[in-house]
Amino acid sequence: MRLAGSNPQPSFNSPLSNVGHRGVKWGMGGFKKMELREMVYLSLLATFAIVVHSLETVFPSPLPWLRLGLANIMTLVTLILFGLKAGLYITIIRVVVGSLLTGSFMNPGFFLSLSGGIMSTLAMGFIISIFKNAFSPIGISLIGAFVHNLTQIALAYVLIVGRKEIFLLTPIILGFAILTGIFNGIASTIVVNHLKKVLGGQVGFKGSRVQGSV
Amino acid sequence: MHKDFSAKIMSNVKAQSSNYFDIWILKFGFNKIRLGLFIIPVLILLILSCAKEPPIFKKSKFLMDTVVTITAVGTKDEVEKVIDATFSEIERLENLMSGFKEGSDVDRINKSAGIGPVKVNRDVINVIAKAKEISEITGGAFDITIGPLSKLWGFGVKKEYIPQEDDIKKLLPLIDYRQISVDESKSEVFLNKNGMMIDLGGIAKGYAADRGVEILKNMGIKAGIVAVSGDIRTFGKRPDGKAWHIGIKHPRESEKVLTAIDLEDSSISTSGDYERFFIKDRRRYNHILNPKSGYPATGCQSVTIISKEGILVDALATGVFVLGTEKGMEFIESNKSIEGIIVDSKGEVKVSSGLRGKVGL
Amino acid sequence: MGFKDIIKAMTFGDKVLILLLSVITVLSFYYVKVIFPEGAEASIEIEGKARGSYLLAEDRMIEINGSLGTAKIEIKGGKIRVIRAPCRDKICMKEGWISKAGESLICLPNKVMVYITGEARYDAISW
Repeated sequence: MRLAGSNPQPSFNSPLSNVGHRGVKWGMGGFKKMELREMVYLSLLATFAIVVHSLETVFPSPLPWLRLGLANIMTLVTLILFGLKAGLYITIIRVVVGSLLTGSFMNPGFFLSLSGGIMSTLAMGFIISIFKNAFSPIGISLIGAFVHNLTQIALAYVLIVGRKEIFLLTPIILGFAILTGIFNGIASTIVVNHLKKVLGGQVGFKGSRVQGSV
Repeated sequence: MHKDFSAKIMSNVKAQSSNYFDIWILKFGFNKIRLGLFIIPVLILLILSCAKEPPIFKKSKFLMDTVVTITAVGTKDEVEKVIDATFSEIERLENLMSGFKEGSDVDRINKSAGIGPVKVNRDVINVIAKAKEISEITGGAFDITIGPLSKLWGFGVKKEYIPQEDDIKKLLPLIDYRQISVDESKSEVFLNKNGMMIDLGGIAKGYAADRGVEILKNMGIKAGIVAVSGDIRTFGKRPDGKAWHIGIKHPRESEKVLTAIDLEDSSISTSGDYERFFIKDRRRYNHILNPKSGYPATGCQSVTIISKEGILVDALATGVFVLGTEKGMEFIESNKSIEGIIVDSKGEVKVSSGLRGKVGL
Repeated sequence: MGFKDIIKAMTFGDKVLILLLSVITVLSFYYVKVIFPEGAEASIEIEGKARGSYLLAEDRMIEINGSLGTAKIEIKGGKIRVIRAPCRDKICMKEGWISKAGESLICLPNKVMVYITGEARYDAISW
């Protein structure tokens, strides 16, 4: 895949660098000192997250809201490379844009996705900042998957189903979370390591850390 | 840092050569492990999708001298009122068609036999007209004028009673569906001979299932089942997208199911010699009487009929039971819209051609 | 960097976490079994009104008053049956034991229905 056109060189030469001059101080919201390429990477991550989120909606699912959570890979990568705020941004953008694309905006499923996403992002962010290097992306991703699924099932009970029988699914959902958590963790490790190589260890804001050295 | 930013990016781009923006996922390729990592979770997902909890609500009520069970797709809050309304409709039909209820339409028809026509409800006209039609196509194997014989044998009323042959023979001339006059325009029914009695027990339950489904559909239910004892009409699909899975009772082992079949928008009914019977002097007497001989039909252990309409399958299950295994199966095969399963008197299971491969035995 | 390297890069914390979460998952299976005993409950209805639900795990005798008279129902070894019915045909007694979700014992004259709760194998039975 190339960015904007078949040949990356020219498209990089003129328009982007111009934007870059103005874009340096733009940032998004709180990210005052965001560099252009960090913005580019964040945008890319957000794009991937949106695409994956939308594609997953097309997959058959055992429960309307139980998904592989592949978009969590993007969230985790963002968390590790760019910190908690960026991770939350990616999550919210992903859910909102993704649901607009799939036509599920403001559906019950949308709120489940949003709250599950935010809760798991927060949980992963806290784990990263509190436990430092105790977990590799696999461990962090596991926490995220668990929190994500538990939040959704609890919310589905309160908002939609209203029958305690939904908790019959808890063991299945938790077992599923372990599998998806590990899978997404491995995927995240690969992406993080690659991006670290590409970015030469220069990415990240204050407080965010690149970790999981391989 | 800001000044030479674009230059820095350029140098970075060069350093990383052409694969700077190559998507990393593609670079990792699809070797077996990675492919497996993608496929396994997807498979698990597919398997788990069978474990989904279906929002189905079921309710039973004692009606029509049996148990009526209505199943509807939806939560209890959504469908319970609709189901109750359907029960009321079936109760209304029961009050019209029961032969035991004083003042019911059927009771009034029977009491005016040989005297004069009786104005009755549209539903009763529908059922009697359909009954005559089915008597016609089964050559009289199904006949609602069986009433006097049923009363004589008294299944479910008298205890293990075998009537005298003379008594039976005396009643046989009264058993003739052609002696029912139906005036559809005036909504009137007349039994031509004194002493005639109609008994809608073999057809009213199927009609009730049809009406029940109509009510459920009209009130917005997308899928469900109305089961008036074993006369079952289904419509739509289960919430998991599958057809309704209907078991057929084993005629001899009461705890077992003979086979099961998947139905969408069709009806099923079973008549068996096990429902009401007694054994006296090593002979088995069941409640399904042959209108021609006046004695219980003995050709089969059970007959299951599957077709579109509940009223049709209910009556035909009885009619084919009376016809016996061979003639019964011939009849089923001669009608494209009718399928059936017959368990013959030795317990052998015969399946009509349209059902072969669709039922597991 | 291959798959093996990633597995090697797992920290001690990861391994403990996987173990812990697996234990929680297994426990949740057990927990769910306890709050939702599978097909192990029988409901008794008289004239369409619920009379009560009984765990099949506890052996006991139940006497109920139907519209005709008193019926006696026995629960033993995870199964339930009618051992005395006031009606004449005693069809419900002849049916014997039931234990699977969706199975039922029906006494028409007495307007008593006993059924095992839970999701049944068949949506309906034709008989």
